[in-house]
Amino acid sequence: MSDEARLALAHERLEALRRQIQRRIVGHHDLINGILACLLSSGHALLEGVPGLGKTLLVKTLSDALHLEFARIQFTPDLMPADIIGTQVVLQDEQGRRHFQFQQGPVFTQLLLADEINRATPKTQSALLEAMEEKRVTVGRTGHALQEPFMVLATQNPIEMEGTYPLPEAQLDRFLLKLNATYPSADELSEIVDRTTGAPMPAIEPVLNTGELLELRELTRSVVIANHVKDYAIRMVLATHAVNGHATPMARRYVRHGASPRGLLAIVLAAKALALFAGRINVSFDDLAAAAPPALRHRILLNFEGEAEGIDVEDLIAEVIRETPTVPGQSRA
Amino acid sequence: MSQVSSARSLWLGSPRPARERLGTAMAALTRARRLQTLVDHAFGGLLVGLGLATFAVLAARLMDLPLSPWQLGGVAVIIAVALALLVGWQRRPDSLDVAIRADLALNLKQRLSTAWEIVTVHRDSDLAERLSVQAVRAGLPINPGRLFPLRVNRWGRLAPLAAIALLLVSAVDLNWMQSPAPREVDEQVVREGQRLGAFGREMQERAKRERLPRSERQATQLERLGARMESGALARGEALGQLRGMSESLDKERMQALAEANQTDIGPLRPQSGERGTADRADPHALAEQLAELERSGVPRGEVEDRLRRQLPGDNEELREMLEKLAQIDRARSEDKELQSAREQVRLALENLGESRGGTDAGRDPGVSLDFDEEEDRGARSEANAGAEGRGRSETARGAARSGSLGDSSVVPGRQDAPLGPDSRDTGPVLKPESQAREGEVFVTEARVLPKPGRPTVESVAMSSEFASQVEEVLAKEQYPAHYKEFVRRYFLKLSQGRAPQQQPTDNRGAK
Repeated sequence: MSDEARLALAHERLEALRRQIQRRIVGHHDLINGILACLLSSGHALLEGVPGLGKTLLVKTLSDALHLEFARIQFTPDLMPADIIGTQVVLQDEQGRRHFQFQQGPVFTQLLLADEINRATPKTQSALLEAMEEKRVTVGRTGHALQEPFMVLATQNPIEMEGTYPLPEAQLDRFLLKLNATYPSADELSEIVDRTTGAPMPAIEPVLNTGELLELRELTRSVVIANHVKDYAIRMVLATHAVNGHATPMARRYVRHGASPRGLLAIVLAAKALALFAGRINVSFDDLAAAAPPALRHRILLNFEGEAEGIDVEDLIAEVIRETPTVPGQSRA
Repeated sequence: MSQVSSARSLWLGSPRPARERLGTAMAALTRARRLQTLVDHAFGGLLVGLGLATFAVLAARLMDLPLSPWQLGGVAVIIAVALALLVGWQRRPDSLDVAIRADLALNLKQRLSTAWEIVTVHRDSDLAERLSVQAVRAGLPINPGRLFPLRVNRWGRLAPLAAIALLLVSAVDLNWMQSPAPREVDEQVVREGQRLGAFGREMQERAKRERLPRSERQATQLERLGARMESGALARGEALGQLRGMSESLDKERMQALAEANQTDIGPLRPQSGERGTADRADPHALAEQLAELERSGVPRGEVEDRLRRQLPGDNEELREMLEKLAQIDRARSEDKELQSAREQVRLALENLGESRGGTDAGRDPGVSLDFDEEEDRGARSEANAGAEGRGRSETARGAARSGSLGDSSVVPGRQDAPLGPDSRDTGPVLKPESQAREGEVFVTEARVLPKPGRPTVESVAMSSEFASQVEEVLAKEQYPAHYKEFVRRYFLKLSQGRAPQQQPTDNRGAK
């Protein structure tokens, strides 16, 4: 199959997946794009929003549209790591002999919904670290590989809400993108009412199996990023470092820790996925600028002054995008 | 069909490989960009050149440099533009930079720049071909000049302002910049400036017409001074200072003009010897006097010269030289006349501006013979000191007397031999203007005499201040009719002169 044909097929499959999702989900276009970018980039997504915005429904719909194993964990304060990973249980065979056997937890799946992840304690949250990064789980002295593709879609309520535990930075960094679920507009609300209070929810047809998804992931990674485009992404990441020469004024004043190299990878991977969505085999400056906010917003830590003054990380990232020149000496603005 | 659609069809319809088409397009784009860069540099050079020219012209005008503003400005602009073009020529645009610019301008989402980067690094790879195809399909402008047009950039837009500044600096009167602070305009100074300016212009025209270079120069300066005074740039004190300087300059010019005329002769001015009409052929001054007298009597000069030629057959060379000298003397006299007239105007201006008569030499009677040049005076003094002890004083006196006579347009017969007053031997016959003469010193004054044929009615004579005061005392004591006073004064003067020839050496050249 030629490259053009592969590109066209990939585009067709993604559009089909998008259509299936949109049969249930009203609006949330950026959220859907972000989730699909994570899906194609082999990353994990953290969805944040107040309860009732349809985060969980979106993830369940996605799982319905994919021929993938799906599992859901409802995080609660009393959830234990073993409830996620699994545990050794004592079994008795026919001869009456007892032995330990590993009972896999819900993490052994392809698409994992970690619902309200910030309601569990950090200890429990950390149980996902190895699985998310290395796609394997170690229990005792035995390591257990997870299936490919493996993707965690976590939802969380805003951390200011009562009874939540902020995710540790190491945990946050594992998520490729942090996507914000916003309130729907009036038209979208009207559409939501019509769809959910009348006829039963429409059934979703699976349109993408494991092989096709892996093929899409391979195609995503083959998207080209030119050196001068890559330099732009690097300058954006460096601009979040307070002590770097590229730092923007806000970053210089309010940032304690800027984006990590993993942040740069997240930007580039998400940008490649966005380029593929647009039917291109090269990354553009616009792709990088669009990928930067969800890739950086959970990787930038404000200092005390930033926290005290209520600085919004979104504003800081917007400044980074605005001030970073696409080519040296030439601003995007 | 639109430009874009035609471009697309051209690109897509071409049978050549995408990479080749991409290369052709990039070459055209790079050329267009280079041309644009050159034009941009030219505008930058133009602006810088105009700025430099403005400063250069300003500086030249403020420092009164003898340079034409247009030449100076033109040279600065040409050099700056040439340098800018040279710099622009050497700064060849990078093709990748051109591709990036084209991407941004055409919103090609970096298809072109990515393809060009990969093509230049991995020319034969499949990826390069795929990216080239993608770039070609995205569509490129068929006319690179549209993407990189020859525009008037911001430097070019500022150039007219710089040109206006240059014009203003070239044309506007800059006197206000030279004055430290704005002052109130002195109406009297302005009026005098108007008068002097008008006189200067007239004098300039006359001097041009009669080919009098000294007068023309002085007239130009007088006109400029008048213009500055008229513009209100000069306060009264400054105007007085400038007028004094002008007066001194006029005196100097007069003296030099007459000195030149004197040097045309075989010696200094000599007393008129013999009867009228028997002037020595070698004495052009006497001859000139007689020619002038004849001309005043209605005999045309040309006729006299013709007759002279007829009377002196075979001696044409000598006659020609004589006539040339006569012409030079005439010119010197004309110069003197013009300069004296200008000096009178300056003196009038000084008086009108409140200059006290005794405060400056400009207040002296214009009919008085030329000021004695102080430098010459000092030179004569030093010459006298360096010379023999016995003749020092007398020679200095002779030199001073001769110098005093040089400035007098009306040559007084026997003037060089004139006595310097009763006490001249004691005080030293140093001639000075009356206003500067101290007690016991000799000064130059003017005396009116009875009209005689071939003689002026006003003579400049040298006399001791002490003797003059005695004369004045006598004149004050006695009752004379007003028109007799001059005759009496002349009588006393004759008395003083009657003794002098016996004491003065006859040869004036000895003092030279």
